[in-house]
Amino acid sequence: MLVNFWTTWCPPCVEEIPSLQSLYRRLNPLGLEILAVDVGESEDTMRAFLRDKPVDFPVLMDPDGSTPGRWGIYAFPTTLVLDHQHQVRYAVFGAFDWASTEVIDTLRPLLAAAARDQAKDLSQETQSGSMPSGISQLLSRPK
Amino acid sequence: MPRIQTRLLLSLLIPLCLTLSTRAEHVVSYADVDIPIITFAADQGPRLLWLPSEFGLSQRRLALATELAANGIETWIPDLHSAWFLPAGRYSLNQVEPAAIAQVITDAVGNRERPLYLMAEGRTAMLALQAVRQWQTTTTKTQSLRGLLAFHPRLFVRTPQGGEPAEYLPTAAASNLPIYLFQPVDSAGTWHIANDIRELEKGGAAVFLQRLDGVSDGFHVRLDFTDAERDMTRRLPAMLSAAMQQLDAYGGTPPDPAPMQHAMRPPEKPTSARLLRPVKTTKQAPALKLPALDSSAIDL
Repeated sequence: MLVNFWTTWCPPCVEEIPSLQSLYRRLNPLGLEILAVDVGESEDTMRAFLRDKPVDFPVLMDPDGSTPGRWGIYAFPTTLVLDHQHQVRYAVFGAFDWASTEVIDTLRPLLAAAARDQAKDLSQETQSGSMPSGISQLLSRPK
Repeated sequence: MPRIQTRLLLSLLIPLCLTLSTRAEHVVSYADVDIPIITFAADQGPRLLWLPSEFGLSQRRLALATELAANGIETWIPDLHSAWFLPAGRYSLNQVEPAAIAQVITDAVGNRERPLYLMAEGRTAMLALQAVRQWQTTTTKTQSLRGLLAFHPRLFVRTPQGGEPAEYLPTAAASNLPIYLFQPVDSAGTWHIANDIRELEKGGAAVFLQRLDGVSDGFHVRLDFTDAERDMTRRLPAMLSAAMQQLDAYGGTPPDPAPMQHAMRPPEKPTSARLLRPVKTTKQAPALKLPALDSSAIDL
């Protein structure tokens, strides 16, 4: 999972969005999730921005700026790569080419490890009769 | 008149106006370097020594200096990039010794005929603090330097990798001059300015903060700017005058520097990379519970 902290007024943040989108389209089928956390802006600002530059991944709103202090964010954009146990494995600040081969090759083992563990959980849960859990269940969408 | 002709005319007139203003130049020598000082004279009033950013002198910076002089703030801008033959860009001023700026401060203090204020932005704010410290150790005792006006200061050793605590350069906690901070709200600095202030106050600095809504870093010197940033820039002469009055209440820079544990050093230049860098210490991500734009809720 990538957690990307950004704002619309930050040019490097906007610059890297296409590569994040490209990465998401390529690796989401393998289990990659991207959470883009917009810091200090209103929903209206974000909706207006996304009308021109839509993205497929969820955009979270932090209008009060509660996350930078807790997450140790000192520059925008900053992106943290978490493994499936939510351990921070990589961190990047500044515009970054997320769609490069090198980056994808770095992320694939994390996704493979997540898939292996998920399959193991699924096997155990199926044996015990409980519902499978997965990273996508982080998104608790209203009905 | 067609728009393109109007723009052409303006592009010719603006540099001409700058040339016709009360602009002059003199040189301050430090070691084997001649530092050109561009001065925008005002008959009376305070003197502002404005260090350029790492990105050098822009037309808007010079235009604002002209405006400041017209409003009674004599403004001096040292052309550091020309003096050291530096290309403009991030960390370009790392090569400039604080002692050289201290020499420029001494020149600007002159015979103490005017109160002097130092002004800087971003990473240059640290160069300014280091220069003041150097100046305090070498100058004859004078409190003519009234304080520092700093826009969105960058005081870190390096930009922290996400999740790491920030490490401040030692001079931040060893400064004791009055400081007035202008912090654009549309800036990552907004979220750590309170920590910056705490660090600056450790050395005894009196610190004021003014948040600037609707603008982002470099709003007053960038060549690309919004209407709100243009309007804020127009207000700056009055805002700077008010800030100078605030600083005056503290009686100027103390004659002796604050104690410092470690040696001065410039900020570290990051290595640019196409590769993801592993974090030094793997740790659990903090909680993240926020609403998404599509009305879903995320709870990590």
